[in-house]
Amino acid sequence: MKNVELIKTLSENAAELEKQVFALTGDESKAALKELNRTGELIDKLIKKTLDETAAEYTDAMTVLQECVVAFGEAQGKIKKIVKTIQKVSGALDAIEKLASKVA
Amino acid sequence: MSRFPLSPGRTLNALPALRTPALFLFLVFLASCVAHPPIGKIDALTRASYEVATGARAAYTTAIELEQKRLLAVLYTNETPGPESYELRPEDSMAPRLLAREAAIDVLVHYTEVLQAFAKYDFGSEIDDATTNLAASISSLSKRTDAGIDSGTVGVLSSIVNAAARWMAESARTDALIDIMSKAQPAIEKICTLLNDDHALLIAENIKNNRRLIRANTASFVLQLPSIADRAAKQDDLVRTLATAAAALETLDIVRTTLAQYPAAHREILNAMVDQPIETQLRSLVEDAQRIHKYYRNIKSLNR
Repeated sequence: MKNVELIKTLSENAAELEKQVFALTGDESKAALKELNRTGELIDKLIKKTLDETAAEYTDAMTVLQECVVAFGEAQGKIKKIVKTIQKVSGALDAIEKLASKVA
Repeated sequence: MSRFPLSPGRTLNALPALRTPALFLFLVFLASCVAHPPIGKIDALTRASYEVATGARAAYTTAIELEQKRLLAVLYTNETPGPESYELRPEDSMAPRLLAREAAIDVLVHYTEVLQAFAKYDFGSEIDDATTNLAASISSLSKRTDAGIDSGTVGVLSSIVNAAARWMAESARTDALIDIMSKAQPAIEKICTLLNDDHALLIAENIKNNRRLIRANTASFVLQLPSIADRAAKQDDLVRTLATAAAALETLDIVRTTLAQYPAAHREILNAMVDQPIETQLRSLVEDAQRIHKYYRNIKSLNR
């Protein structure tokens, strides 16, 4: 979180420099703009560096959610087995009936 | 007279006598013992995940556009040693960083979609079809073998199988939902917290930084343009860019609010299945009673 604090401080400085760009004229305004661009560049790099550092923190949580997605599929398959069991019983009765008709 | 006073046919045919409110109450009780998933809340959670995905994508797209415009604006004013090219190298761009966040949102959306599909999957109609076929098979076999099982008995038998199968399916569904959602809860909390931190502290700051640089550099650059028409066009472009940046920040704020509520909404669905209120249970009881009675009448008429 040190980076975040640093970004906030730099951001406040940049906001102040931006005001100077518009309030001042001539070389003073150009100098303020130059400083603003440098500060902005630094903020940009710091933001990207921090985003890179936190990216890895997502991985574990994403893996857990992906496992949960797989688990839902497996649970659905198990429940469908109930239907399949009834269908098997029904099929067995049909087979018996055919057998009975042949015997008759 | 049969030597076996309780022959299979007679025993089975005694079942319609049980076709009393007591039997149906038992079947209904069995079916309603299971907590039903709160579909309305699950639908709302899915909608929320779509809103997060749409909002975040829009804000990310704007962030990437602003980055490119900032690059050009700084390059035009030439007040600092600018980039050598108009194009950012991928490793220097926001795009891959934002793609990593988009991937996390996609996983969240996919999880919610699968949760919704599983919670809403119509096992009941598959069970109805299977038990209807079972009833037909029993009836057909009975006629073939002169077992003497009448349509009422077939109806009761298949109603029992139907109610029991539905109870098994629903209890397995609820158990799976509670188990899987309990495992997912900490991961959802983690992803939502990380996204909100990144959005509020980093991505929003990135947009504000680029907006500031575009505004200051373009303002300096515009004054150097000799043509009034060119100045006006550049000013118009700047106004539009600033409006887009403001809209992206607002969108990120809406996404932040939704993400902040998301883990609590997920937990609420979980809790609703663990401690289902008595009114919901009673409603299920009535619905199951009506369904089983309708199923029985249907089966009985089919097997006449």
